[in-house]
Amino acid sequence: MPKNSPHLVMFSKHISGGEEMDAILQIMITGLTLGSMYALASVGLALTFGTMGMFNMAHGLFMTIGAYGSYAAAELWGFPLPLALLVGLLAGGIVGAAMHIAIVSHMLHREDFTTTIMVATAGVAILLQDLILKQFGAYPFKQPVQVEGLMLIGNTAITYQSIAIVLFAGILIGTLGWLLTKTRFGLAIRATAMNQDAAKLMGVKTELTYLQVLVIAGVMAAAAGILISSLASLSPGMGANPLIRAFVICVVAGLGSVTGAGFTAISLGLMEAAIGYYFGVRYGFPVMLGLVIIVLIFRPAGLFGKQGVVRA
Amino acid sequence: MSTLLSVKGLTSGYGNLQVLREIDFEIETGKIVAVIGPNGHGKSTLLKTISGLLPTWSGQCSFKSEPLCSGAPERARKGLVLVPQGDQLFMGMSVEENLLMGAFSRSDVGATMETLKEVYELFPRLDERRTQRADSLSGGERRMVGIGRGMMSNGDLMMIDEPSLGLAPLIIEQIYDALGKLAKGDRSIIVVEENPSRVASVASHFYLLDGGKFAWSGDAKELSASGDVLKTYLGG
Repeated sequence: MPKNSPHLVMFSKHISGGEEMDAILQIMITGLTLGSMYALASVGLALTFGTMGMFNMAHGLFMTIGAYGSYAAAELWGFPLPLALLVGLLAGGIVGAAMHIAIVSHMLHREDFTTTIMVATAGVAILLQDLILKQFGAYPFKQPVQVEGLMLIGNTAITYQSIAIVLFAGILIGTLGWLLTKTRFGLAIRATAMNQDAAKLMGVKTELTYLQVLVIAGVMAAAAGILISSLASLSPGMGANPLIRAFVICVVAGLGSVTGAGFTAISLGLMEAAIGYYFGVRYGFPVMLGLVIIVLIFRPAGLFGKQGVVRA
Repeated sequence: MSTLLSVKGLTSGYGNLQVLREIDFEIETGKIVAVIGPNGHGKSTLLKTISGLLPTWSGQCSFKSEPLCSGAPERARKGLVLVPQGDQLFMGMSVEENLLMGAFSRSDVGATMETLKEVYELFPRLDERRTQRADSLSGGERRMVGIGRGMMSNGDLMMIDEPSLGLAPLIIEQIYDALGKLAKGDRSIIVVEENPSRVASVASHFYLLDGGKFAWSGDAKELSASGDVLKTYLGG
């Protein structure tokens, strides 16, 4: 496992030799913590793909930037914890908006948008990662934005950080769900995702919708990055592993399905925790990758995705 | 009668391929105009260009005696409505959500609900299916949602692209009954059809589009008198 993986820290807090109940509780807590971080990491990716047909290779860097944003605000500028958290989220949103204005908006009308944008965003990812490396160096800093302490239920230790992660992710994803399903703003996003031309004909300014989607994706990714770095540490390359996981989740769920990504993330988090508990942490990721292959063979459109039908 | 939309010297196309060549026409408030012509000669392109989905290469459009702004969303907000070919519904939304999307740029909630009631009166079938997802509807029901969604924006000009396309004759009759009722209001309508036979009973003026230009135009009386012209173009 790489040094910045969250699992080492998670499982070091697990007290072995407990009874079956303890094991289940431990798996639930670890799984929910992992799952909610994965959900945060993948909903933005699913939303960008679903709305714009764009696979954002820089999504992992949005996470890194969120994490470093919070770190800089708390450690270097001495901001209080909630404000530092906010700075991190804001940094993700700003980078999302900047990428849309500088790059994506100029490429949207190309016929080969879906492929060229992957190359372009991969370039953005390399650039941003090197900028962070230049600015902060490669030293694995500790994320100062976190809550200390733990409590015991039976023989199981629950860190306050785990509780904070699940709560924070729950609030953010709940807000996103409310935005998408209950507001006019969300209606515009869903309409654009389903049929771009028709949305335009209804008066939806789709270009603005795309900008908003990238800002939302940036904020969600930044939140994921902050939380992940609070369990591991900061490094310029910290976004790579979560990006692969987010991609796996989106493929298993069905590319573009936001709700599906949320459910899949929680399920895979729980599954990974169970595998980690019974077989060892090192098997979690390979099993996850194996699952993608199986899903792609038997349900190419994903668990929540629909096979596209072309109608004349 | 005042001129609602006037088009002068409009050219447009896809990529490097020019489709429309110097189109001129006008539509007055409260009138129904039909654009007819063979397949692949620019009927849909004309509607898409006027709606702003395709860029205008040259020429001027003015709507409600103002120059038309660019961009489909802006034009839709001004009251220029396109009911596109093949319906283009929001497949993952329910019938009612689709209809309400049509009113996206309206802010008058009360009046919007009135229009929704009108749509359900015109198409009682949609009232029965209001919670059903659009992708589970039949072709005829989809067309009704498409037209109903266009009505919901309460625009001044409604452009309908081939309302009879791909439907059974019985359903086409229902759709045209509905168009006939729509025409009694004060909104202007442009209907595009390949064949003039259906649209002859509702439209007051006809344009024949051939090779990206209007090859003939006239009113209902001239249409019935000009059988030869139409036969030449449409192979009637």
